[in-house]
Amino acid sequence: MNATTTVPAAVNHTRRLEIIDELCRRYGVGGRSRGLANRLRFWRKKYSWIAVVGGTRLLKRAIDAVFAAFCLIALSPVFLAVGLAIKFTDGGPALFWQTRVGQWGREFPFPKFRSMVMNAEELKAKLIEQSHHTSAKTFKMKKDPRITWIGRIIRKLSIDEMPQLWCVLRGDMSLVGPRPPVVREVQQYTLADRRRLDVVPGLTCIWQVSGRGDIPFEKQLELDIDYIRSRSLWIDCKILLATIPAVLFGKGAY
Amino acid sequence: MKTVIIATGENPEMQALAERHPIPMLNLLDRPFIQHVVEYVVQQGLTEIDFLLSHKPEKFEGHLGDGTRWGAAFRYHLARDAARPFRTLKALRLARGDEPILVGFADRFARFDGESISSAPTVFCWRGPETEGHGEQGPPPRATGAVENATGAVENSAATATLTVTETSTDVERAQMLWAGWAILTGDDIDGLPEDLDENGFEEYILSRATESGRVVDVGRPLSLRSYSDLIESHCRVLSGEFGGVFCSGWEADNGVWLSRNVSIHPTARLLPPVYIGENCRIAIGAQIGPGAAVGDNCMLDGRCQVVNTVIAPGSYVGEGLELDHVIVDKNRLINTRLGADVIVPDSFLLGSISDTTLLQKTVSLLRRLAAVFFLVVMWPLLAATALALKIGRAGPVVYRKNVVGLPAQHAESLWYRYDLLSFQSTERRARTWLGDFFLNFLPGLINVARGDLSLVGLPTRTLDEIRALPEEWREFYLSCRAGLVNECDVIYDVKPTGEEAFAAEVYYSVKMGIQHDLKLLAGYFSRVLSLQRRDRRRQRSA
Repeated sequence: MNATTTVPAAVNHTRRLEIIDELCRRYGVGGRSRGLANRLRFWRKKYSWIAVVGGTRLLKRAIDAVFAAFCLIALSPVFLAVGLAIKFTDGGPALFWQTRVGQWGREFPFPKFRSMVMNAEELKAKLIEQSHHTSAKTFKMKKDPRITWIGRIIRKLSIDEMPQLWCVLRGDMSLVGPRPPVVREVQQYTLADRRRLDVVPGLTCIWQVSGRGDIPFEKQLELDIDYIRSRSLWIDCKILLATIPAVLFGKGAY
Repeated sequence: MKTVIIATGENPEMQALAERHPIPMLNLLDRPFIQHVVEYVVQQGLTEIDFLLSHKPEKFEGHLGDGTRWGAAFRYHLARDAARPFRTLKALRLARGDEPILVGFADRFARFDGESISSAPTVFCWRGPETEGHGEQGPPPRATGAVENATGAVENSAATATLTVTETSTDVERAQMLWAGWAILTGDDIDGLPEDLDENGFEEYILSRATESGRVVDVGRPLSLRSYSDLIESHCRVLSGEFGGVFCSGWEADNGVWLSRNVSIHPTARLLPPVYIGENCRIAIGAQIGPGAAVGDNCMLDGRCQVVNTVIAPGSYVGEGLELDHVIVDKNRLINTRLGADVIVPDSFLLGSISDTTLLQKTVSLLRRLAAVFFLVVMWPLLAATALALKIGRAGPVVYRKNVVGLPAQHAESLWYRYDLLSFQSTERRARTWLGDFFLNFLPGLINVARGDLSLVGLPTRTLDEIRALPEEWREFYLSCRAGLVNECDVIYDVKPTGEEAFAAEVYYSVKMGIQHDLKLLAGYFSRVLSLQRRDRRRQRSA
């Protein structure tokens, strides 16, 4: 361990003067006009940087909020119809509220149209062993017996995910970002897996548009990390556009 | 096993940087040093962590939160004396009897692996400069006892002046071991800690305990944040791969060249390894970055500047043609590690800050004042009626003035701005109902808000004498926050809170401070006013 030594005030002052002297000698030439030109150049660079970096962040949030609000209003008749259909199927609630894990591990309520029978969570434990995933970190299975007839339709069309626009409007989620995992999954995450939680989760992400539930967990993580590293407004737009055919053709949704 | 991380931030050698950030919160690559330490500890399966804090505790709590981000549980404790935190460690009594506890310093990152963590008292050390040939300064304290490699077996030996390395016990391998800043102690070890121990005393104590009953594990040279040179050296060691296993959001684009997202580099700029460039950085024409350079997030390095063996803190601007060698730049502060001196450069075009909080602050302040003016316009009949009623029905003056200090304030007392806070009530008295508080304090206080003296929500206002009487740590963070008409303390506690309650509430507010939290507190205040609650109701019930 280093022995901590404090520089005496007088010595420190002399050294400080040395640095100031050096700075003046090297960069103090050119007088007041040069100083003003430099200052203007600094302000130009600084504010253009703020406009680009801060503006992108603001624009992403603004697009999220406007898009979510617009969709929630525009799709309200569909929501009403689906809600009533679920209600009349087995009399249970139309929405299924889950707790999901958002940015930096914060939990938030996450709504979905209920596509399964009412005691689905209890049946889940029995079915986990039959899961098609080699990894138990995410649980999804083909031909899940818990899914109702209306559930199968809305899952195929991804309508069950639409109530999450509410989370987008609230700011818990974004349109594009890694899918928010459930608490049970996160408990099994390693520290490296937790990198997924470094950004705001989203409705759709790269692995959604390139195979969705068919991709194994390790590949999902890799794609999510790729997205986190390279995310930009332009990539978000591309993913959003690519989501449309993925939803329409229902690839990987089951 | 529980972990205690001591992060009091006491380091006279790095005082210039400690003004803005507690030392363990300084960045190593893309995240604070303490976050690397915490992530490593969690990776070893230790998820219950207690922090001993002293300097700027709100910064730690604000960044690390409750640990859910890492699937761990964090608790924070304030050490009364930053230089002697071990008294608080003893008082906490986190460990009892033989229950082991991992204790470490947040400014040192030692790589003890899962296998070396056991219930036996252990001291983690590294081979000193005499065997490794590194230029570590200062007299290295000697540890005596048996040494094992991090994965090796323990070999007990009689206490000797030097340590015997287990792999070979030849004279060539005899080494002086330096403490790596981390140790496993039992409850009895902690109970036996002498009072008023400083860091050096603590080191001697645990080394002597290791000699008696424990073991010494060689964990290799730790990353350290004990001096400005350590900060630069730690970056170099991580970037060159000498110290592996450190998480970083960037990726190695070329051998020793680390880049992050949204970085723009001019084609003529040169990056010489080892070098790290953080997120959203802009490197202009002809700049030479590296070797040994770490540029934090959101930095701008202007044309033809040279950055060698230098650490640049996030949000800094380095001017055109500036040559930096063995320095640390934190916005407009320049620290020369070779001279051991620092200066603040007033010309922003040489060194400056890229983040613009001034514009944002001015806009927020304007909006706050407009909101107060709006409130005053709406409520002036109530204000006038209250003043008239008090003039008729009460003896003495209608308006009382309390000379309070404007926040945020500079550290120099002579620069503190003071103003008269208006109230319809004497400062010694406290309104018995929330409605009374609204008429007697809130309404006249709006005039102060409209004048820009304070905000609607913030910390409680204090006079000069009241601020002087505060404990140092409290005073320090109080002066850096903003004051408000409505405060967390008032909304939470119905009767006058105790000192500790008030401190806790103020620290909590300083962490949560923001538009959303302010609106929540304002809503809480008005719900109490409208529900006609008495202010002392809750305490009576609990009593």
